[in-house]
Amino acid sequence: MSAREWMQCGLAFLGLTLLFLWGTWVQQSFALTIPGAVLGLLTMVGLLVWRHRPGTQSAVALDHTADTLLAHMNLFFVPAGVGVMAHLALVARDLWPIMAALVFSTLIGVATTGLVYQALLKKAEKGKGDA
Amino acid sequence: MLELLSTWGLPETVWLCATVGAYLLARKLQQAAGNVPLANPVLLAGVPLGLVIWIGDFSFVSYQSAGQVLLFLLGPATVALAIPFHRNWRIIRSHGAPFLIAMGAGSVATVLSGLAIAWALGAGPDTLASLAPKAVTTPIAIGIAEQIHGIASLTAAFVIFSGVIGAMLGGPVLTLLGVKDPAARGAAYGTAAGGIGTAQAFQEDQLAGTFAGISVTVNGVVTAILLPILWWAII
Repeated sequence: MSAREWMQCGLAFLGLTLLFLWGTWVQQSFALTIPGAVLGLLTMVGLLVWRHRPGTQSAVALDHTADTLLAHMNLFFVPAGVGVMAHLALVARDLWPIMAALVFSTLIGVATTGLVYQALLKKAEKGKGDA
Repeated sequence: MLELLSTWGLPETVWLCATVGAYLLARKLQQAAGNVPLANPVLLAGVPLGLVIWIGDFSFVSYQSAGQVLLFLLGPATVALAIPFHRNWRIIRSHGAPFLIAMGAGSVATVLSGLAIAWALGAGPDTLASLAPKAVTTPIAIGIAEQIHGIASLTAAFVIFSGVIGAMLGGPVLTLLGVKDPAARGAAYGTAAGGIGTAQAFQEDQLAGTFAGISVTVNGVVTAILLPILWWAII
């Protein structure tokens, strides 16, 4: 990457950070229960819908910065993962409820989404066939 | 953030470097293991770091200040989810209703069944609040956990565990139930198993992966808006 491209990616990162801080500010000022980062995300979607010019240098830099951040998102969770250490007593106390809830609710969620989607798709196809 | 600067010293710098180093090594291991769901970089990096802190009896407070820097970056990374979301907007619109209805049904089923099972087996209030947002992508789940007074660290661990379960067992369950459509399979992976499920969906099929990715963001945003409101309305 050239120096110019680096700078544009830096600016894109700064923009994403400012939107996060903006979301946090909105959340706190209006005592909302929606996480600040999600308010920042929604603002970003609004900005993209309002004026997104694909192919321009700034759009390319934004894409690149976002993809890089998202590809390495796991790095940002490592401290949270290590933080589980501080709560081992709670995990040990509720180990079986936690395990059962995680395993079964995940499979119930997978099954529900898949079955409902497939049923709706079949219904839509049938509707087309009748028409 | 200013507070952080005043207490920042050599141990914090070392921990920060150790975390980044452990993550990079974990990525290499993940790739060497052929990207199987269990070879999760957070798990592979977090467990050794936790053991080092525990065995060496190092200050957990100083590790956490180092971690704050990385956790802060979750904010801009969450905002960055807007970019792939906007990129896929046309797909969301063209598949509109069935996609959104299936995702909503799956999301409600996951949250309610998880809470019901844990509650019935006697889990405490802290555990329940940390479990509630576990089906959505980690950055958003952590934000929701903070809003409903769950423990963010536990939520992060629950998200990862759910992702591994969904990625390993979700495929066989869907096949058993006769769900063959790649979009439906993708939406199922994304709604119940987040980012790890999405990676698995991409290994199955490109279209399934795209749908999984879209489901993760849409489900995350909708859950972030509705779950805290409903939580406080009911409790």
